[in-house]
Amino acid sequence: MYESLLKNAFAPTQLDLLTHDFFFNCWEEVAYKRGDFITEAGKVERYFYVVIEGVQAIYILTPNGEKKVIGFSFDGSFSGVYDSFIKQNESHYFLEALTPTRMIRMNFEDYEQLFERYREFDKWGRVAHQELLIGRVQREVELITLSAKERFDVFMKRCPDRLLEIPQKLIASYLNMTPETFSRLRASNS
Amino acid sequence: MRVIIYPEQQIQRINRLKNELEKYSSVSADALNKRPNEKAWSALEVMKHISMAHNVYSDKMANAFSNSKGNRVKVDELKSSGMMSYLLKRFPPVKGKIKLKMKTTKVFKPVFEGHHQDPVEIISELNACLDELKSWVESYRTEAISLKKFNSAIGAIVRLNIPEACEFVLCHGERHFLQIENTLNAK
Repeated sequence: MYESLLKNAFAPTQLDLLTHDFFFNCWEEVAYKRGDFITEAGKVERYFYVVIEGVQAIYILTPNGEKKVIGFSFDGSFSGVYDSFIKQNESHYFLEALTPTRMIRMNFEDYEQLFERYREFDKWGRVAHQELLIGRVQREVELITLSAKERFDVFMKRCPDRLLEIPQKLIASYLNMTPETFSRLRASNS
Repeated sequence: MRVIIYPEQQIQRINRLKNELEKYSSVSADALNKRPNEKAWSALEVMKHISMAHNVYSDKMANAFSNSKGNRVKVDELKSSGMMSYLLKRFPPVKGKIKLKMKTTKVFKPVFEGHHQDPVEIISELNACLDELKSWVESYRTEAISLKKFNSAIGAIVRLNIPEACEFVLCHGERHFLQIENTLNAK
């Protein structure tokens, strides 16, 4: 049912694995309204998600309670609070549906089984983790070395249009700038 | 400076209390019933007290949510009033210490009179209270509400709106969860 979505998400895993009953039977579809929490800080992340449609934000709260956005997920991407999922301990983060969201999800036991049963899956795991690591390092470097204007420009080039539908203050938080600065840069860019 | 109330932060803190409470369900009934001294409450008595104080707010909150007077707004964050800010800065425990001591009125004192209590019932009642508190926060976060103030459990001396009431109940719980921890650790 989700063959195309899963093939894209799990590339370069070989297709014969993707047609395997076990793999396809691992997934269940879930839906969330705008503003719903998919995962709450203080709870354990039980699932690994692929987004069918919608935009989600993962964020942490400062001691004062302000949101600091760590990242976004959207159509076709993976989602979830991965460290909590892998360690099966309490999440430090919230994962929130910013727009009406449909996702498919796999539980921890099935996720573990995939690696244990199918060696081909290791390849996906290796590539996915490499990309994740490279992405996080790149973001860290951008936050440290680029000006607010440069961070804005890089983000606007890279981000899918759907992300621009969400509240500006969340994108501003992700880019480590004030909503006012983000708004000014966006106005001067249009 | 006014205290800003964030619903997500309240949810995170409620989850923390629920996780604490879950840990207590594996503590022995003897330890939970033990009073550190003659005048002090046992851990179960403290739990019962939190539930009793919470239950006073159930009707108040139901009325506040159904209040159709005035503007209804959705609350992302709320700057609390001067009086509430004063209390909220002093009410929750800070670095494991209670700054503002408060005397418990008779009506909120759990009456166990030395009987050995069943922890399952008391823990389950408190867990239900925390779930209800969380549902209040989720409601005011996602639905437009009236910010009209109502009397707190201690009377008209402290008046609160819905987010402030959630904060007040939560801070009260946090104070007493610290007391539970201290009671169980007392030798």
